[in-house]
Amino acid sequence: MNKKKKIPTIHLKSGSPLGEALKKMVEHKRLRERYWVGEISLVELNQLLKEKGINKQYEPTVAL
Amino acid sequence: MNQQLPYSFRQQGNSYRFQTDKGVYYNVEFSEGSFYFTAFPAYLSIFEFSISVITLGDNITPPLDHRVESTVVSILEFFLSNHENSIIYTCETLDNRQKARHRKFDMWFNQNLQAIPDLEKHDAFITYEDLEIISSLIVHRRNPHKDELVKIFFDQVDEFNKGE
Repeated sequence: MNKKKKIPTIHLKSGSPLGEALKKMVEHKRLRERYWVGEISLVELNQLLKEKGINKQYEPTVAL
Repeated sequence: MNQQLPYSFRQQGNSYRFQTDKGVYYNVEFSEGSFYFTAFPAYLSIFEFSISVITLGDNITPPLDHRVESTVVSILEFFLSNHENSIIYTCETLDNRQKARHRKFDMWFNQNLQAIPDLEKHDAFITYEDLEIISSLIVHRRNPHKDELVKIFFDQVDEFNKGE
């Protein structure tokens, strides 16, 4: 039988390494989505990643 | 129990791509967590997991296709066959659909449990500054750092918070 699982809530303190990591992860995700929908260029994506301290740079997509 | 035949997928580095028979192209990507988890020990192999649609084909939205979920689960299993890898998945909050996304992912995972008996998923609703996210840690039962990863995920590792 399927039981509804309760998800624990965690409130992270300011400056928490886990919080900072998750914040960067979400920022990266949002920027990547803006690139995918054509809102920003690849150059802008890489620039914004750099500005946010995310050490990831994208290369032009290889044809599928 | 949902046991649909997975689509075949193609690996390119840490990206896995597959095309459905309805012409939708998906990309499943594992990004190195070292971009984010800079404060954690380097031996912890943490990856971010994301699923995206590359092309919709002739569809306006991705059509319901249970083979997509079994393919994603197969890719997860394949990626975690290296037991040291672990995955953190976050559900976006921008459009307030994070609960629906989490439920969907949870359902995919649970319906395919038979195929992935060695994977564990831990979930948490995390608030940090103005961020509210539902996040999951997926780890292999035989990952030698499993207990440490679970503690970190539930923010129970005090030494990382010292010096604030």
